[in-house]
Amino acid sequence: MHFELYVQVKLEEAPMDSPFIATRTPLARRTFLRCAGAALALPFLDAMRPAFAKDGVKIPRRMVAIQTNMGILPQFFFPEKAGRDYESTPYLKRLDAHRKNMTVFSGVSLPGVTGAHAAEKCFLTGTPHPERGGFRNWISLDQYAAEQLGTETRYPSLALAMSSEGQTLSFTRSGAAISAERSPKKIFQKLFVQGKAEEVEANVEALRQGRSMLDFVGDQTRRLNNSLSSADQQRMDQYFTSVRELEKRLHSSEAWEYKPKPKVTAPVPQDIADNREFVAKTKLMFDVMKLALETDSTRIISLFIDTVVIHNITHHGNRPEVISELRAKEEGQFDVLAGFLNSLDSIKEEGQSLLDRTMVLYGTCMGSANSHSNVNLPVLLAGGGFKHGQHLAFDQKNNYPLTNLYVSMLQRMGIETGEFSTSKGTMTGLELA
Amino acid sequence: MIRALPAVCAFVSVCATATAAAAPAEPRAFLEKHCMDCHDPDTKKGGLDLSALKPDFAKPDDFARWVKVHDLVKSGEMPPRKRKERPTAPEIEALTQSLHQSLLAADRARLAGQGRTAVRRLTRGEYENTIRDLFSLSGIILQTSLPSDGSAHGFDKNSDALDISHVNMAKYVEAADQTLDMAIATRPQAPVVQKLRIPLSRHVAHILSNGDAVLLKDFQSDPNYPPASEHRHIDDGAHNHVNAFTSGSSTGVFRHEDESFKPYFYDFAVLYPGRYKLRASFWSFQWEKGKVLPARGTEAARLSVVQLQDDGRGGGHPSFVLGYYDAPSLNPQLHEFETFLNFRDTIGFNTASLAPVANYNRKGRAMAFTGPGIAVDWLDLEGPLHDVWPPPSHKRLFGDLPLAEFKPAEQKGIRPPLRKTLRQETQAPNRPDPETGIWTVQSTQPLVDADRLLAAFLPKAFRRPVDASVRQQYVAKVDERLKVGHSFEAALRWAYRAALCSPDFLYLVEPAGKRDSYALACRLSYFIWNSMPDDALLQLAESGKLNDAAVLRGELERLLKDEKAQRFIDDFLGQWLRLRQIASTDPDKKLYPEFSPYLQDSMVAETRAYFRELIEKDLDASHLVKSNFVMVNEKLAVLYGIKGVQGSIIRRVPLPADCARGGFLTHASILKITANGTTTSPVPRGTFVMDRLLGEPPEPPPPNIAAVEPDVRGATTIRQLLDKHRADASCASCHAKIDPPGFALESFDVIGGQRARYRSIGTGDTAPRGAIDPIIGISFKLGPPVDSSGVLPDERAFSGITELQSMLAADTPRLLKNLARQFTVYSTGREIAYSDRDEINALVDRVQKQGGGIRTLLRELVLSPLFQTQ
Repeated sequence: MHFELYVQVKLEEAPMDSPFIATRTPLARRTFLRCAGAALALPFLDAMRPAFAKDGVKIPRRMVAIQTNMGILPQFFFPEKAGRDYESTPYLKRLDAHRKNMTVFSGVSLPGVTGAHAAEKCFLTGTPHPERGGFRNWISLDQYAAEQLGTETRYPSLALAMSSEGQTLSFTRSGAAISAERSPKKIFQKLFVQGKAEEVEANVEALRQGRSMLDFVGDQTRRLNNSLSSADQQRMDQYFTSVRELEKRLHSSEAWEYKPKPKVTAPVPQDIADNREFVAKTKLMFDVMKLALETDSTRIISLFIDTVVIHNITHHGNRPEVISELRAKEEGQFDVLAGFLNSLDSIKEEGQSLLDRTMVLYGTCMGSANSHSNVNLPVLLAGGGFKHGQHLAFDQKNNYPLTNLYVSMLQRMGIETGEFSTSKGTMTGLELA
Repeated sequence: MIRALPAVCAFVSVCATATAAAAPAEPRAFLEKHCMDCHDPDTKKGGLDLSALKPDFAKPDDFARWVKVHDLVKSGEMPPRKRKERPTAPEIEALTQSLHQSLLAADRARLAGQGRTAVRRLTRGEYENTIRDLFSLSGIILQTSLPSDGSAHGFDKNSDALDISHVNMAKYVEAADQTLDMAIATRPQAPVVQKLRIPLSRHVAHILSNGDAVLLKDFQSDPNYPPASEHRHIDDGAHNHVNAFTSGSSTGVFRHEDESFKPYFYDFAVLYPGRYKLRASFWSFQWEKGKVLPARGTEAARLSVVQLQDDGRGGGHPSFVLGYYDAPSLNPQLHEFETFLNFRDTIGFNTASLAPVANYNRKGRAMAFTGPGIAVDWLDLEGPLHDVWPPPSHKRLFGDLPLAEFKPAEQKGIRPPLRKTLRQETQAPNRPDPETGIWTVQSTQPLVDADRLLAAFLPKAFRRPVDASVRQQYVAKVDERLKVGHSFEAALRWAYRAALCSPDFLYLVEPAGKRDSYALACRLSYFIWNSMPDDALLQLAESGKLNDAAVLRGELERLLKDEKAQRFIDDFLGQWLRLRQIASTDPDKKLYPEFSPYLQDSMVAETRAYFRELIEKDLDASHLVKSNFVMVNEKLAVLYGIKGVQGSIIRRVPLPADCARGGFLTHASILKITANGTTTSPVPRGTFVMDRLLGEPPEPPPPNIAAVEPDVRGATTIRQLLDKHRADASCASCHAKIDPPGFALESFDVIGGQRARYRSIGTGDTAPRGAIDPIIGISFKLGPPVDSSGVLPDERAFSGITELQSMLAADTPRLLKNLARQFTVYSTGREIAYSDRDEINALVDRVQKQGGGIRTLLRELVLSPLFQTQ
């Protein structure tokens, strides 16, 4: 049941700071798995899940979901004409190289998701009315996929953010936020820097201690339940479940501890502290995401791009000079996105490009940041194996549910579901390639 | 009333058996007669079809709709005033009474059999405070590494907002380790106390050399290092070599902190967390091309804690403000205080009250510059300060057991406790004390000691008595660890870590059934201190005396007097008035060039000080919207146009007659939070007033409504844009309620300054400087005039903010009731159920009878069934 998997890894020892040499060796899957181990410390647990073996000659599909949270100027994004021969716009021109491999959407929004900036935490969950008192989020698209897919990768998913306030796109089934990793340097180290033998031993010992401790505290709920009402017992059960889940994750990372991490020859990225450099920061993040995908360290990534540093210019009040300042920033964002798509496109896997197997969703929760509108969202989907190359235009007044796109994406990942969040079907007009 | 009674009884019995029968004749008759014209299946005005609304009170959605019918009829808002045939007062009374009884019965049935306040985990703020108090580690920072909590009904203290997943759990394990690492003593003596006098000059040499700062000696330029002039100084290294920066000169700084200038007192970065004493000396001066002259007044210097990251190079490290300190004219003022510092912390400085200037690219540099400066004499740092060793955090875990050196040769088969080698990871020159081997706590009878130590620790950490059988489980684990060769410290640490991750610690558990005095103690302490009860409070719970009203009242007073009560003020206001969002917008630099971080911090300080004043002086709820005093410092006084306030300290100032301020309503903080940094809109501000101050949150807008696109080009005002929107009848009915308070607040801009005309970028008249610092360039114009008049839904008209304040303040019970609801939700972690309404009304009545003071409200709430019921 072997299948060939091209990975850009170097098998021989290479010093970390040596120049990047792409070594392309077809590896049997099992060989790869043996090589692709990694040491995990606790902070990265959010993304860990037990690996279910799913041998089968299935094309590995990937999903990357990106939100930039302060809107995208609609006048420079949306094409006028629907269909395949739409005229490119200032922003879409930046992605022209991938025109045939992407679909642009208009007239879409997340049903019921209102509340201006509050909507940013619902971009991948589609949960209505985040601004209301008793709001509780639902599971996010990426976590739903990670939960459903028995994945062979070290990380079932990565939740990443380029933010100052700890935002995230990823939420668990109970609506708890998964804190996103914000440092490209740390992500790189976790993914690719191998611990020493004694560190591995210490990690394994720590993981075992952790599991035995969790076992102990989980048992404490039994005693407490005796004195609690049934509703409270359910709440205590949520604690118990979280303890068991963590224990399972520790168990699986114990197995990964002994497997070496994939080696890449790219240098360790140096984080940028200045938040105004959010375009350069995004590029750093894209670079490490590309490495994670090509080494098959994960197949599912969410990325929250917080552009709060330009928040006040998004309230441009229709001033031309502010709009042009904002446009320059947003063009920078599209340029680095184009670079990311290029890099995925340049990597080949069994004759296909990595981009052909990676859905890249890019969009925003704000149709117009100036007025805090949450309808008519600028969104595009590149790659991943769809019949792309078109502008799918829906009704501007009565928007089409964006969550339908999420169902299409889940099905493309190989998940048999007809619904997700507020959606009950796939996206009209978007067909599998 | 006589007619209503049988119907009420019938209705109650219907609901008690939870069957959904047809509505009794009477409400139906009322609805048919007065409501069905508009709320029939065809018209469905406001989306409500009363014929389809079944009296099935068990369904939450239908229940909520019936509550609305009840409320709108009771308030007289429905049927609309314009209708010719209005129901009579007895008709209204009969309907609302009958509905009220039905709703009450249904709500009680819903809540029967469950505790009113659900078991919930600690918020991350509560978690951090609890650890701080449990271990006497007053400044340990944990909450920033915990996942953020949700919010329900306005606060994070509700069990619906406090889900838990494996993500939280993993972070709790880490936080427990971080706590125990800091708590456990690993050295025979306290770390050597560092005593340093740190001049700022050496750390800002690059701006001394280019004229953004000058060296001063005896209130004049330092002759050994003249101010930068036509040429900048070169070679900081050579100056450093001849000790130019350490000769006792003061550093006069003109430049404000910015992206490329972060002044730190970087002779030191903390290696040993703990209490440190800081002393700093500041004064101000006017600089005139080389001469030091008396200053324009008292300036404010800022000190902050900077958490250095990685090797600590460069700026941009996270920091939090320690405070603002007065720098009087040519008169050095000494400021001394203690603070807790964490690993890798250093101290940062800023010329907070100065406007940004840059001399580095100016011809003639400092010798051509005239303007204000702040002189820094030095910063003294002393610490870590330990009154006892081992510290209280260690004693909490290991009592008085002795520390001794662990010698592997003498301890065959026992693994030494893990120790991380302490290193100075930053560029700071201070180094760790020499290592003296592995020191750890010693026990000659480990299991006996473990049992004794856990018997003391567990009840304290769990905030209630702990059964011997539970303790035995922990001791058994210690035994297990010892048997596999763990040291005494490591074995006990295992148990302590488990305790800190256990549900007993992480959750506020209130056993169902009888009232429990420990739960009451926790409720009180998590309300006023946002943390665990102290020993005194737990003892009162143990003896049962806390159930005595007089004792409980006394404890409330004691807790309020403690400095930990500030946590309540900060946490409550952070959520109720959304002060947590103060920094979420950056005012547009062209429109609001006078905005500064100092102003923003002063705004928050004002609102907190004002709330504290309301509590301390037991002032009534009309003060939420109106007052004859304000709590301001010089910075705010200038913004508010109040004369005679000097310096950075917030103090109580009588409100001048011509100053349209007073109450939270006009606080710059609130006005900033309800604007977007560039423009204001009556809608979010009106919503804020309705929701937060009056407790009547407006309905969210219907879907697919195009929002108003703000425009600051100077041609149109937000009111003109909004008027188009309001022309739509379906929008108008809600906006008639939402907008009026927002209209009045249009007199205030996005940073809380008062205005008669909008600022504009684009067309408009030249703007006068007003109180804006002369150093700041002005490029905005004055656009259209502000119209702050409006009409309340009850048709009372107001011309502006002052009249609106009086109208709102006149209805004190409405304001008091809202505050009572907010306090109740916050302190009990549950929403206000329909069946709580009578209790809330009774509470408000009791408080009103005693003068209506806010401290009285706190007291009556704590004594009320709302607070005391589980």
